[in-house]
Formats: sequence, C-alpha cells, structure tokens
Amino acid sequence: MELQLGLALPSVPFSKGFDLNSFGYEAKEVLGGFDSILDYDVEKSNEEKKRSFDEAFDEQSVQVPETLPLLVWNQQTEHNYPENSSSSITRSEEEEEEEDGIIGWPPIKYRRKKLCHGSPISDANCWTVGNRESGGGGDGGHSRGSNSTYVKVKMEGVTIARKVDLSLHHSYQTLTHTLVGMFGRCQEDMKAYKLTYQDKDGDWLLAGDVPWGTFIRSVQRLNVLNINGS
Amino acid sequence: MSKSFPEEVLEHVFSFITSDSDRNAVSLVCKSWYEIERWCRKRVFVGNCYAVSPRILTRRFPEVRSVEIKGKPHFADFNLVPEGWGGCVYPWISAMAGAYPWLEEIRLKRMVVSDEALELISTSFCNFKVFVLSSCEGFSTDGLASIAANCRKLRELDLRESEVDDLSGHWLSHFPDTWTSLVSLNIACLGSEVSFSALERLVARSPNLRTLRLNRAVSLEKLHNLLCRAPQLVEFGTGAYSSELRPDVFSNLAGGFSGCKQLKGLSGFWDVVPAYLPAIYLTCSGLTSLNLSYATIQSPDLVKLVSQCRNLQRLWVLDYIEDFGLDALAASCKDLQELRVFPSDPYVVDPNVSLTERGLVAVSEGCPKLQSVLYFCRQMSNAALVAIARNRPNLVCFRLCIIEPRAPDYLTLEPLDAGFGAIVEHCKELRRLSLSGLLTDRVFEYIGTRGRKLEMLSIAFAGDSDLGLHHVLSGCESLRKLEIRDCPFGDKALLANAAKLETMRSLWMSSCSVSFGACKLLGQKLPRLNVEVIDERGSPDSRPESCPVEKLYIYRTVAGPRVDMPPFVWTIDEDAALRTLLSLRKIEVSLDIHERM
Repeated sequence: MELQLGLALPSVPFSKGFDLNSFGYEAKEVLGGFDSILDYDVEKSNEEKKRSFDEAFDEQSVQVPETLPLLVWNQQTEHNYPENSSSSITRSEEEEEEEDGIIGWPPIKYRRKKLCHGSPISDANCWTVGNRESGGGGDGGHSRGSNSTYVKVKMEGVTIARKVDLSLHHSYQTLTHTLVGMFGRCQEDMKAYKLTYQDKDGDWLLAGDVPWGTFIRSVQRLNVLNINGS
Repeated sequence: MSKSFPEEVLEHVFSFITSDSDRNAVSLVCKSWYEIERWCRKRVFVGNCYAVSPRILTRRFPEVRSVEIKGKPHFADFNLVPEGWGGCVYPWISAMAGAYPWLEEIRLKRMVVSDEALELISTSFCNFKVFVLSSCEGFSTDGLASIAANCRKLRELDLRESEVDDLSGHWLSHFPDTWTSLVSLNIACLGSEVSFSALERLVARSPNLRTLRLNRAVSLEKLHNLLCRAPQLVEFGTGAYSSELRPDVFSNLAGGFSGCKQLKGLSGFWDVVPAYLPAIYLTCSGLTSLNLSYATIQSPDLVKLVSQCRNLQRLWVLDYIEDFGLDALAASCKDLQELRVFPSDPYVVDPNVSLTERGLVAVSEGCPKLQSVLYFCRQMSNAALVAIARNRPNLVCFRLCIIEPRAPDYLTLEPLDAGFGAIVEHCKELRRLSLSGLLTDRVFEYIGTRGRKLEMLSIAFAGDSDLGLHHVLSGCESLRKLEIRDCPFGDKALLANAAKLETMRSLWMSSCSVSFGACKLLGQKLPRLNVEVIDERGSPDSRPESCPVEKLYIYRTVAGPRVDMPPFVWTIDEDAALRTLLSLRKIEVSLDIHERM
C-alpha cells in the first residue's frame, strides 16, 4: 500500500488526497521527520503527482475535506470481501468469553439490570387472593419472579416448544393431560414420557417427586422426556 | 447588509432563531453578526463537557439563561466507562455562578454532580427554575435538600435515571410552605421512601403541577390521595402498583385516575398486580405515552390495556408483550410513533416469552407513524428487516439488539447485511442506528453509501476487517457520534480517515484493534482532537506500541487536553507522539510489506 501523505487517490468516493500541513495546520519544525516518513516511498509509486500547496488548498477551502488520511487507503483491496466463514472463525474464539458474560452486553442500563436481578418483589403472594377483574392469564396464582403463570414446555423429539398456563392446573394429572394434548400424543403414549422441570436454582428435577404446591412455586420450565430412549 | 440595521433590530430578529445550528450559522456570517449573536444567545447546548471549557463559554456568551451539558460517552450507560473517568460538573457550576447570576435552567446528562455542586447551584442563581439531571451520579439526598430549601422559583426538578445516594426521604420537606411554583417533579429513581405527608402537602399547594413521577416506595393505597389533589396532572408515574386486593382501594384508585381528565402519560407500575390495572382503563383513551418498561405484566393483560389506548404515540414495554401483544398494538394504536421493547431477562438464552421478529414486523405494518424503534429480541431474519424497511421508510431511529452476539439470520444462517442494508436504503431520514447480529464488512458499505443523514451509529461484534470502519468513516457524511465495541477495526481505517474525526463529536472504540502507536499519531497530527486511551491494565507505554489499546475515546475540542484525568486515562501529548515516530515507521513498513504480499 502507498503511504505517502498528500497523494490524490485514483477515484474519490470517500477521500481526497490532501496535504495535512497545508490545511490550516502550521507545519511544525519538529515534525519534519514525520512528514518524510509518510512520504518515504514517494518515488516508488509516481503515477500520480503530489499536488502543490495551492491546488490542495484552493480545492479544500471550498469544501471541508471528508477525510484526511494519515495513511492512504488502498483502493485495490477494497472489494476483497472476506468470505462469511471468516466471521465464524472469530466466533468460536469469543464463545468462551460469553460464558462468563460480556461486560455491557446486552446494552441495558444499570437501573434496568437491577430490575431484572434481585428486585425486591415485595411480598409476591399478596395478590393471590380473589381477583375482582378476573379473566386473562396473568391473574391469580403465584410469583415466578415476574408474576408469570406461563412456563415453556419442550418435548423430546419435538422442535417447537410450547407454553402452558400453570394457573389453570391444580394437579400433576391435569397438567399432564394438557401437555399430552398439546403435543398431539394420545394418553396411552404418555406412559412413555416423563415430565421434568427446572427449579429456581436451575436444576432439573423429576416432576411428581415433590408436592404440587412446592412444584408450582419453583418451576421455571418443563421438559417432557422420552424414557424409552431414542 | 448588517450595516443597514441597527444592532437592536438584528438582535430582535435573532431572538426568533431557536435552533442551535441556525444560531451557529448566524454567528459565522460576519464579525458584527458574531458579536450581536453572542450577546443575545440565551440557550447553550454543550454536547461534550470536554469539547469546550467553562471559561470559553462564559466569555463568548455573557447572557446565557439556559445551559445543557453532557458528560460521559453513551457507552457509560452499559458500564464500559470505568468509574471515576471524569465528567464532573463542578467546574462548570463554579464558572457559571460568577458569570450567569440570572441563569434559569440547567440540564445535565451523564455527569458527576457532587452535593457541593448542588449547594452552589442552590445559592448562586436567584432565578433558577429548571433542573434536569439525566443519568447523573455522585450526589445524595442532602444535596437535593439544599436545592429544595433554597430555589424558591424552581418549577422543574427531574432526576430521571440518576444514581442518587439515598440517605433519607426527608429532603422533600425542605421545600418551603410558601413555594407553589412546581410544575414537574420526577423522583422515580430514588430508593427510599419520601415523607408522604410532605409530598401530599407539596402536591396540594402546587396548582401548576403537570408532571409527577413517584418512586417505587410510594404505595398504591396512597395514590388516590395525590391524584385527587392534582386533577390537572398531565403525566403521572406510579410507585409500586401492588397491594392486597381490596374493593375500597380499587375504587379509590379508579376514582383518582378518572378525576385526572388531562392525563396523557403514565409510567411506574413496579411490581404490578394485574387486577389493579382496570383502574386506569377509563383514562386509556386519552393516553399518548405509556411506560410499562418496569411492569411485569403478562401478554393477555397487556393486550387488554394497550388495545384501549387508541391514541398512544409512545410505548415502552417489556418483552412480556410477546408477538401476540404487538399484533394487538398494531391493530389498535394507529398513532404509534415510538416503540421500545426491553428484555425481561436479558441473561437467559431461552426465556419464557415468545417475542420474535414477527412482532416488530406486525407493528411496522400496522402503525404508519412509527419512526423510532428500540427492540431487544433473540432472533431476526433478513426478510423481516427488509419488510420493516419497506413498511416504514419514515423511520428516524432504529436500534435493534439481537441478544446473542453475532447471531445470523435464523432462517438462512446468512449474515444480516442485506437486512440492515435495506433499512439504510429505504429509511432516508434515518438519524440513529444500532446494529447487532452477524454482520460482515459488506453492511458497512451499505451504511457508508446510503446512510446520508445518519448521525449516530452503534456497532458491536461486527465486521471482518478495517474495511468495515473505513466504509463508515469515508461515507456517512452526517455522522456525529460513532461507538464501536468488539470489532476487528484497527489503525489503517482510523488513520486513513483521520480528518473525518474533526467533523464528528466523538468516536468510542473498545476491544477493537487500534494500537497505541496509531493513537499517538492521531493525537499529535490532529491537535484539535483529544485522543484518550483508557486502559485499566496500566500505562500503555509499558506495552509494545503495536499492542491494541483497551478503550479509545476521541473527541474534537477547542479546550485542549483535559486536566482532570484519573490514573487509567492517558491523553496523547505531542512529546509522547514524537517518541513514537520511529516505531510507527516500523508499523507502516510492516503494513506496506503485508499489503504487497
């Protein structure tokens, strides 16, 4: 690439060749060495002539320069787009970093983060008593940190996950019944499946091992496993 | 031409010119216009507190009544600027205390405001009326108490999203009983309970109160006491919107809300109990602004609420609204101009909400006036972005955050270049753009050539090489602010476009590939730029010059280098730059060799 400062570029969609020291800057004695560095291979590529002070200044005094190159961008390399694969290479490097979390990503303000994590949901059970304006899925039930009564359900072998409103259920039996219907399985088939759930600590447990009340207070999501294996 | 008018006439003419850029243009016409304009400039906006010094400001504009100053770079919102970086307002206040005794308004954003500064404000400006502290920090409720006690003409006190050291809620009682001029009070960011009786009395004696935003500590049961004392309210922010369900509480609340006939904006709703939401149903048809971004309301309840707000222009909401709720929004709210959807649980890969690109496409189809979008989601496709761009060429602000970095089009697994390319192609008025997802250098070519009016661009985890940054800096002719993190952009693109930086307010680059050597070269060759290297690992001099710097903040300034740097910030002075010349020669030679290979 050419490094000389002040050479006009072959085509000028972005940057006009322009002498740094001729545009409102006082040429500083101390920088003499600097200029010669940037001009050091001026003889090597002499297809284009360095413009005179007047040319450069006149042109630029009409229009503020879009860019002022300290290094001249080499146009020839411009349209060498790397293949998509190159981004996937960098990607694998970053994945380790992501496990620890990336500072400042996703871009959410501090105040909002506090809401998401450890917000003092004051006395989450205070609103379980009778709903005067009932109807809709959001009322009644218990708190999941976000007042949600919906949890996501996955079934092994089914790609699309579903959601189920737990407030509509009062026992494992009705819940299982709903799930079977939801995934289009018949009741007999259900024996081949096991219902597991993720609790608040993120651990996966077998549903049915704890009382319904305990389950409903801690379940975060559901997974229906095929016990016959696949 | 100016000779034909007396100065007073020109001054009067200028007084009708309110926009900052027009005033700036006026002052460039000739020396006499410059003189006349500077003596009658009443409002000043300083976009970067280090771009000009307080002394230059007060010397040039002696008659200022209203000042707005911004401090830290935008990425400070996301913890990318280390604590203690700077942006203190005190030097400004102390200069203005001497120069502007008639100052009426101060608006600060992302600045460090000490209690001492608040005290000085409270005693220096006898006509002080408006005080807005947006995302500021460094002060406590003691400082607020001195504002309350001394600013007798205060109309507006807005602490929006500031980080206040909350010592006690007693500060509110310092407003004197004779003070009745309050128009706007926003204390939503405070943690501790304010004295409710003081609040109640304050509201009762403020006939002009239009905006009241409470904090989470104010309980639902008490809201109606405030509402019935201020039926003239236009904007209201609730506290915690939860309580044990009692018919009397509900009917009082509903009565309070329906008494406020002019309500146009609602916010707050922390810890919301959905059963209390119907209390606001009667006011819904008048609402133009609804901030539910702290309200954990599920989709069915949101749908019921939103579909009654037929005149809504601005909605902020959590992703609990889901695609289903956005469909309802698109069907009901034909005046919607601004939509922000925040993630309820940003750190979970697979949350219990189904919010996808479909919801946004639906809103872009259904809401013809939509012009501003902030949308957090977990999947996106080029097809969806193209549809949004075609549906809404009137977009001015488009900020999309796909939460997983470098996520491709989930349907085709392609980069999202074409989608964002369509956004900049169709939305000719686009001023602000935030990118996310898998992006190659190609998207930056689209942005550089098509984003003619783009003023602010945020880039994260994108691009493949210097070419990306080069496209942006050599195109984007209106660009003022550029912020970049975790992109493989380095010296070559930055140095090739150095002069562009003097046309911009600022450039932020963190975790990129800019070397300390290049920073030195920039700082030394462009004396009107401050080039700040922020590195918490210690002095960059202790590493090779070619080593990339951790964080780089470059901004133009007429004030010269700043003097209040903490130990982890280095600015490039000319001496340091000279020392680097030799090593730069090596970089350039190696670049040259690299290119020729």
